[in-house]
Amino acid sequence: MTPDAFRSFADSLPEGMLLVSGDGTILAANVRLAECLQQAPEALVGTPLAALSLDGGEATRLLDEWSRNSPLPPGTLTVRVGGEPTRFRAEGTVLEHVAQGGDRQLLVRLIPKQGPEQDPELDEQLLALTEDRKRAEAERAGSAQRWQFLANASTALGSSLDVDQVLRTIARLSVPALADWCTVDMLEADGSVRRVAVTHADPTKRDLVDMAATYPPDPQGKHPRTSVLRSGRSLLFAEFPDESLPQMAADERHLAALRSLAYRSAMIVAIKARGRTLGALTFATAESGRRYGPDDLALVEDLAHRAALAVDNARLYAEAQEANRVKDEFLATVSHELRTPLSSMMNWIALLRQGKIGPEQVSRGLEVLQRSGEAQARLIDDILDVSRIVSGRLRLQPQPVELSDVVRDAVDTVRPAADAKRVRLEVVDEAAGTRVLGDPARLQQVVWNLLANGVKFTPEGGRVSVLVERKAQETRIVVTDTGEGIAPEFLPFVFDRFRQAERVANRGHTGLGLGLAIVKHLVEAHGGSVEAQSEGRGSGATFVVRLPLVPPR
Amino acid sequence: MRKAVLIVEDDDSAREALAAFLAAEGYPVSEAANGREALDRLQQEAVGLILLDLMMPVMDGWEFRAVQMRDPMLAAIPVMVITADASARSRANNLGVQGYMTKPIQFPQLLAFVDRYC
Repeated sequence: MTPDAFRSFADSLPEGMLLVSGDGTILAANVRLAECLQQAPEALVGTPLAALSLDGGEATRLLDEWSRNSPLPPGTLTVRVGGEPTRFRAEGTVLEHVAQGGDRQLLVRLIPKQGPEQDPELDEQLLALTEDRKRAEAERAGSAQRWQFLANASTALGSSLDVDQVLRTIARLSVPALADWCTVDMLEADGSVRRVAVTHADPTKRDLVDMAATYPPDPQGKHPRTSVLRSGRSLLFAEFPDESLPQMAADERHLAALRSLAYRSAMIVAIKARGRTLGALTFATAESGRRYGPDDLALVEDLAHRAALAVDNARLYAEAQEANRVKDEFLATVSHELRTPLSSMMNWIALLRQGKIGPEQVSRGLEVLQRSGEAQARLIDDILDVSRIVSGRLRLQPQPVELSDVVRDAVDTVRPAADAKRVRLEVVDEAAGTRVLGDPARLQQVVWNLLANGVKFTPEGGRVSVLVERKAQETRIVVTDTGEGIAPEFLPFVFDRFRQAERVANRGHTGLGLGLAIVKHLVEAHGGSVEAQSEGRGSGATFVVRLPLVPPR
Repeated sequence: MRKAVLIVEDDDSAREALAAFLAAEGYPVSEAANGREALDRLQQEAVGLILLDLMMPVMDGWEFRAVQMRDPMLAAIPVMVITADASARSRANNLGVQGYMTKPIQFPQLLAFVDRYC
């Protein structure tokens, strides 16, 4: 205790008190004692207790006795007060927190012998003071424990980029330091709630824990966690009313489990990052009887904030890894796709140079060389287009364009491939004469890509059709095929760069999966939109391009 | 009679040219567009060497090789993998094949290899 702290409480006491260091030096004296001794309180500071006493030996013996005995036996000190030797009863108390380490300090009460030996009121006040001091000590210790907990939690949060592992560590650290029971629930992308971790201080409640773990809150339920997940605002239940349990329980069995867990107090805090609620931490007490207060809530909110940052980091990392993986896969596909026509060309060159084939096969070889070369050139054009799109360097050269011309040119270009595969190509033009403002080469690229895509995914004997129609505000180009269709789970990604490559490489389709990404960008650059529809695998696909009649400025 | 070289390759024009080339060099040649067709051909004729593409529809080269190794009648037929997948080499080591080449084909090496087995 500092002399100031001593004075702040001891000055208000109606009895004389001293704060004495272990070696017997007076560190402070209160006003009452100074009055009693007819001196200024400051005058006593720094002098040995023995110097205060008329008989120095008396004080030395008392201090010696106090150093060897606990509790401290009361003694007698004779002090000169205004020339008169006055006997005082001396009662000493060792300050507990200093007793635990560091310098020993004594609180010494000096009671005039002729006065009342015991003052019950005074004792009560002293007791209250000791209680206060103990509570302050406990709070200090609690606060140290909290800092330690947060430090441990931060270390755990920084130790892994695996979200679930991080959250399980948090739950483990929280019990029993913060709670008798802790659960972590995360919101999934589809809005469902996934229980990531459950820990309980009492291993005999393992079964109940397992039981409760099989009852993650449903997103529409009445469990208070549901409202935390929805609103992102924390909830503190200082005292858990038993009546609230039926509202939280999914069924009778669950309710029985909740009852046996005997909740007393609980806190639920949201794990929030960048304004989005990612999940919730739930802390509850039962057998420990601990009651949560605002301090506890502040602590777990701090914890949830740190957890949110860790989860967010881990997610960003996983996304970056995924983007990298897709890119690596794309490069492997580019290499494969460029090698395939190249390989065909090299085989034909070897055959032509061998000089043992007839003129008919020679001309067929030259045709293959030309086709393979063109395919490679297209692949390179696509890669360059995507590169331009990504860096925002793709420029359009807009002019009034008749859509019928665009579609006809695209159909002519794709017809040889359709014929070779015996896929029927149909054109229905209901918008003859309709003009849009656009880059004719790029619009033709859009239609050609959609048609080529349709032919590629349509088996022999199938059909690819293109319909051009004019609506009030827009023209539509609808390309429909009778091909293998698009699985519903893949539909949202058909326009993503690189995506097709990973899906179809093993099904024997060629191409980089860039065509539709380029289509989407080009259509949007024309102020339009493109949409893919499919009833699923095996039922064909439809692509609808919408272009404005009067393009936006 | 010489045993045939079985070319398993899904790119029609590449396979056509390679088949014509080997035929002109005097080797009997058999063709298949995927692993499934290759298994059919193996039932019908004596094959001395298989030139195997890896990425193919219906049944790819990996699956074909697994089926081949399980069949005691076929397991001994030597295989050279010819693939456009430049990253497949380390995985292809586990296939236990006799030869490996990344496309495009280097014809002198291919001829030396074919000559050894057929």
